[in-house]
Amino acid sequence: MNKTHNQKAWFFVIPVFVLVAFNAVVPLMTVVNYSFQETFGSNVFAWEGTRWFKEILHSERFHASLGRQFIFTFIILLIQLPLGIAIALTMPKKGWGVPVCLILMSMPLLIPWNVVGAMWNIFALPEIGFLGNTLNSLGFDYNFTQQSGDAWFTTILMDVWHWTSLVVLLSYAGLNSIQPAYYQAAEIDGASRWDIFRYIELPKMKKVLTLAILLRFMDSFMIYTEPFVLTGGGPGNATNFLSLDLVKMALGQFDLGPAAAMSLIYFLIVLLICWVFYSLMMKDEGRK
Amino acid sequence: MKKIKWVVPTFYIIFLMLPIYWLLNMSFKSTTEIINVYSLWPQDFTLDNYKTIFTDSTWYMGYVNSIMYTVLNTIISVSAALPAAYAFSRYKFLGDKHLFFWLLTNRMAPPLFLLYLSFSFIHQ
Repeated sequence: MNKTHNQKAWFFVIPVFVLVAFNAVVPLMTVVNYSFQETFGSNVFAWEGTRWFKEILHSERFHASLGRQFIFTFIILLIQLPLGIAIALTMPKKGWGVPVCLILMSMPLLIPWNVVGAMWNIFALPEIGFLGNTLNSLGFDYNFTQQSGDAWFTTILMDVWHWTSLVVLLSYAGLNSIQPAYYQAAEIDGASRWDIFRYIELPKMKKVLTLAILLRFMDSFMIYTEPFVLTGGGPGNATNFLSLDLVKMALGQFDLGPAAAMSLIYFLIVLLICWVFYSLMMKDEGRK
Repeated sequence: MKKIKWVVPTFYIIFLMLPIYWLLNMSFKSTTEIINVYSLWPQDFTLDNYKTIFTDSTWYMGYVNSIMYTVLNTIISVSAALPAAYAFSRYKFLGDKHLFFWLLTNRMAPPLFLLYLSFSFIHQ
């Protein structure tokens, strides 16, 4: 679709601009404010300069939780994207199967995040949960509250359960927008199934997949509620992801300065990765 | 080929439904049965849990609060976002790409950001 240049469009954007400016800039500046100061409660502050940033960047605890976070997000993207695309490709294209699939598949997306955590906690309990009981009766020694490998397995399975449907729905919408003429041309040229996927479907899905990767990256990198309810970061620190660690530091120990510095570094990491990815994917769009 | 195609979505949907079924299954059990007995369907079917939710105000007020919050939230966010979405999809204007990415950055802020906002209000 061709967009026309019109600077008056800014008038439409002003409400959201003002609202978000208030909602985003005020908390951001508050965090910046705290990150350079020491607080002694009851509104007493002392200037600390860049001390918290240096401490965080050299702290092993931060390195450990950042490492866990990257591994988790990497595994999540590696599973959910191919799986989501595969399901979207094999889903029915017409008939009664379409609404059935769409409704059933979007159900996990409608469940509140803390409910997802709570229901997976009970679902995976080794004695009385379906998943835990089944795995144990199959001969696996499964207990996600005791063994860190099992905790990781459960957390990843829960996230796959919760969010793969988002990738499916986006890919499915992308696939449906491809005109039949492309497939007819491919058939005339004798393209194989793989060629159709590689040269027609994948390029046509590029925009929705960019969005899917961005959303999945951001949400899995900042995952908090579900592992908080499911494992609480345990056993030990095994699933103590970055946001869990951050909240422990801020509320558990009331280290507001270091926690503010940490959340700024956290924010900058997410921002940087998203910006690089977004610019790379949108580079070709401008030329066309 | 056509029959094989059904396998992937079918298995996926079964996987999606299992935890939901387990939740439903538990909602019809008594607490003692949930803790003590492993059973694929309620042995001692009960509607007591639902009765508690709809008659005890500490439970149902949660729904009322949620609905009020959601309605207010929807009114504010849709009335602000709808004109902006229209502008982004129909027109090019100065700084549109940067503005769009900046709006997206709000989804990247760690949850703690809003917590700090409440701190700063408490301190005042």
